[in-house]
Amino acid sequence: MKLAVTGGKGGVGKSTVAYNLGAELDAVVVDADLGMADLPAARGPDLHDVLAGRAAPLEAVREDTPVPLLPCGRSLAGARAADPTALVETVEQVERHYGTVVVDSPAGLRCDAGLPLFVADACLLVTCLSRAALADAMRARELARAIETPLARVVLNRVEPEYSNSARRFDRVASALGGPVTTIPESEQIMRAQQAGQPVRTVAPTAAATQAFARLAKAIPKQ
Amino acid sequence: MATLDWELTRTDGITLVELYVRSEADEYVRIESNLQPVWPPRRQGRPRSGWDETGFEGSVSADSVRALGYASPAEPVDPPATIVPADSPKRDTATPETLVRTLGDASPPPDAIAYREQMRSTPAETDRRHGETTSASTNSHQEHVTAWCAEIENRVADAQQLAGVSDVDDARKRVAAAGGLDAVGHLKKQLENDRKQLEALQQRTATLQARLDAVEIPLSTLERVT
Repeated sequence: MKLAVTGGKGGVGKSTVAYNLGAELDAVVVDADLGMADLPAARGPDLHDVLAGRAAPLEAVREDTPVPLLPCGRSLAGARAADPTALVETVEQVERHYGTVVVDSPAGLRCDAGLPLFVADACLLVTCLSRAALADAMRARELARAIETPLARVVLNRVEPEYSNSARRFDRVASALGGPVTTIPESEQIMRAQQAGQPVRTVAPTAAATQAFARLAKAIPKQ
Repeated sequence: MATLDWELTRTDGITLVELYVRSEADEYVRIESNLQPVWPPRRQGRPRSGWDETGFEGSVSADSVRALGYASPAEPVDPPATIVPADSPKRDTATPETLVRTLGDASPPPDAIAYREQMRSTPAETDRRHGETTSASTNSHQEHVTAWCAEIENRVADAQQLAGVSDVDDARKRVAAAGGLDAVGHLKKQLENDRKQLEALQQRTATLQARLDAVEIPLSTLERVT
């Protein structure tokens, strides 16, 4: 199963969602945000190397990180030398070997956002309760429709405590984006875990945030 | 049945082909180039819609002329292209290539790489990146490697200029800027050499890294016992 975590707007927490979802699904996470890698860094071949044909996809998968990860490169020259279309074969190879892949896609609507959607069986749209985030999420939704990638779930991320029971708001988001919503609460624990390169379920197994990610994983239909 | 007119120009070792396709009825045509290889017009680094390695495929209207242009390093041939029977038109579904073409390539521009290299070559930046060094020879080794990598990055940037050709005029300008087709051929050989050298270096440094990771001088123990 290949899932693309997308969202349109930067800063909504896509990478955090991708990483924690990867932990819940026992998946390999591919950091495909070529311009701004923000999942844990690692030595050895990275996605830039794979996309430039310097390394095979499986060589670049790190199994010694808390969540198995194919890290992104971190140089401008590396990003420039990468062939973005090679992501398709890369993700397919990782899926064949490991079974489930979560692709952390970049913000925006250029080909680096479109190609993860193209290769995925379904996508998750991450957004927040802000106008800017929702507007960009709508655009990302249109892109997914154009590429014919089914929407598995809308992830309403970083929901502050005062909005945690706003069912009407959540329904409006669900109907605007055309898909069922799972909410993830704003959480200090998620932030600290991410900074430590850990999924929140390792650091705080009984936290509300952990339960939310578990619910999200369960809600995704098997592709 | 569609008909073809053409004009050919040969300049700087490139043949520029202009084709004019006319038909009495709306028709879907395939045009095979008799000059190979074909350098099609490009968008975002990808061949424009309808173009592939050997020619073009698309529709012609009954009441207008369809003009097409492409280039080839091959010598002019008369006719430069032929209309061949075409299958029914392919549906315009998304492919990775069309996604890059329509959504846009998100790679950083070559100028950004050149700027980074400029920054790296200033003494302050070099010192900061290398940290404390204990001998002049270490400094010069690191400077040598940095300079070598910078040369390779320049060659790659040059190659990317040539790969990102968007139309025939552009092809002409870029080949001229590179110093002609001979220079382009030489650059290609240099890049192949770069590839081999970097691969060998990568393997060697990976082994060395592993050994570095595995070794630990027990300095405090040695201090105690000697």
